[in-house]
Amino acid sequence: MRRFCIAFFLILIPLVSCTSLGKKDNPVPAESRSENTTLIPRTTGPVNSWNIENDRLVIQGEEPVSIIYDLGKSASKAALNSAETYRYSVRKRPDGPTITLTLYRGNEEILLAFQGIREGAVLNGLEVQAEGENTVLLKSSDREWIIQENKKTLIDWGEGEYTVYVSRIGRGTLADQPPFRCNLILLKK
Amino acid sequence: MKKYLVLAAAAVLLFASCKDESNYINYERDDSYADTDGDGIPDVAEQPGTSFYNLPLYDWGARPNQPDLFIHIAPMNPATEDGGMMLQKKALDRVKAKFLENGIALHFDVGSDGLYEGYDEITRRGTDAYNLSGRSHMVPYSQYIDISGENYSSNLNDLMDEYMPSNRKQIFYFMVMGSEQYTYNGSSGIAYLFDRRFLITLAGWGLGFGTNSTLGLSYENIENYTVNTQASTIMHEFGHTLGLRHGGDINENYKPNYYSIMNYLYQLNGLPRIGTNEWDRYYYERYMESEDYPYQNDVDNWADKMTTSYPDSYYTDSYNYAFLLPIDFIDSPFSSTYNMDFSYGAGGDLDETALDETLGLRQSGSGSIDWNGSGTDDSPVTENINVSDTVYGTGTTTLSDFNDWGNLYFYYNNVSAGAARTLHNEEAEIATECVPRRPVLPLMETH
Repeated sequence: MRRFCIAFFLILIPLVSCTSLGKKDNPVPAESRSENTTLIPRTTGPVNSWNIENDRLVIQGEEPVSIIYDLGKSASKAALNSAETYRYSVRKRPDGPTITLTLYRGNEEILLAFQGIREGAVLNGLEVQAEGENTVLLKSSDREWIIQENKKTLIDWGEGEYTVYVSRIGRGTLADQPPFRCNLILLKK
Repeated sequence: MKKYLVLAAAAVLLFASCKDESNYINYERDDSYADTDGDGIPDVAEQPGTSFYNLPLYDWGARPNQPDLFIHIAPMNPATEDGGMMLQKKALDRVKAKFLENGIALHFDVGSDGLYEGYDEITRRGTDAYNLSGRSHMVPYSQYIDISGENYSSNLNDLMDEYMPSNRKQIFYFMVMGSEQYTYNGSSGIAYLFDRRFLITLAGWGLGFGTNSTLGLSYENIENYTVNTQASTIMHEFGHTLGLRHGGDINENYKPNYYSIMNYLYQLNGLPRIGTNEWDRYYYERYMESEDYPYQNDVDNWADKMTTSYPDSYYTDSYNYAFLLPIDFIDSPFSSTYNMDFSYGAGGDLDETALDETLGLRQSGSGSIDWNGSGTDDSPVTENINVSDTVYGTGTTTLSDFNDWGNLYFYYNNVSAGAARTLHNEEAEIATECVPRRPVLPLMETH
């Protein structure tokens, strides 16, 4: 009997230790395992609410979407509160996505936020060019503006006056860093 | 008698699992030792009963007749439910299998936590479970992480200094499964060329698990997408440490005939199937590029070319806003047949001033590709076909394939056992843009 016990424990202990080490408790609630909406690269819909947290503007609509947003809450509050619908699109690239978020009041575009745009991109008719170390050149069909990084700049363009805010200008030198990229916000006054 | 046999077998099992490594013969780097497979581990340290810098590499699978590359993975505590930070075992399986096909043994060591199957964390022991050390390699969560620099709360070099044991710095590559980069937010990863350090940053990429009824994606589709994206990115960044650039031996990117996941054209969508719609990744890239740079090309033309063969790839949202997704591509990232590989250099040249569209990617068995989107297969055609590379891809030149597998650089095979032992991070960074040189390692720390 004693031998049986020893043999039993000698086999049981490694077996138990192996299987119990196998899996931890599931850290994610079961309901989040069902519908995965984060893969849709483009969505449009009504703006139910918004928030800025951890440098991100989060729009709660039919699907929650977010974009890096460095302009801050106070400067954007009026526009964000009046936003009725949004359009959001992501283009995945190995060296970082380009993301566009447009907020509308009726048919009027009241806020455009761009994340990770590259040199030469044309955004609603505005071309983005690298300029100095901390500046970006914006070009419309007939005008140009030099925009300082992390500084609000007013421009007259298209149908009105906009606050422009450029942040996180990156000039990559290593592999998988694009030679130029930045984030840009156009906020209609 | 049977009882005794069972007892004896159990005792042997227990004994075997409790090897006394203190009796191992320990070796350190010495230039006089033979290293048949050129992996930086001397043959004598790839024998039973030996260790290398007190690491039992033979027990972990190292052998003298196959290059063995050991990778210390430091998973960042995910802290969120972002599937992009949850390192999938299947992703490592796929990378390992691809290298093994080419005679190279990869030995990932994630440690005792931070490895997942779906959302479930697994913590098995042993080489097959990528847990060699039996200890946690986890590093604290940080919203941002970069390769170096002072403005970020976490960076690759500091983490290596702090969390990688000094003896491992003699033979292990170092990978952090991190969150996202600050300035280059969203970049899938970053690495030093001809080096041992690389960083994966896939947080915020929409990776995860579940189903998507809108896009008609099953759980398997989404799991494949997450696993394939992680696997491809790990192989891509590791490829940089092995000396590969986005054009093989050159920086020029998006060369369609460079049949490698080092090429951005294929890193996230995988390699096209030669002879069967081998144009799909190219047309899709032209379509996407036309959207961002509308002055360059015709979006609708490239979209139409795609949908001729992939009619279901058009997705229209509730506001009737249409766009294309690469879901139905042959061997797409949503499929289990996804193909990621380094190039074998078998492709012919593509002269952008005289393209023969009937020759496609110029691999054996290639079909045709309408490089300029004219609707017919012409020759000769002049077209810049790697227009997405706005730095090196401008103008019309001759594009070449490159034999990646035949030109891998093993960092530790180039490490000297000499006395001048300082390798400063900044020096290494400069080296990334230069011809590879013979690095030297810092002295072992004494305990």
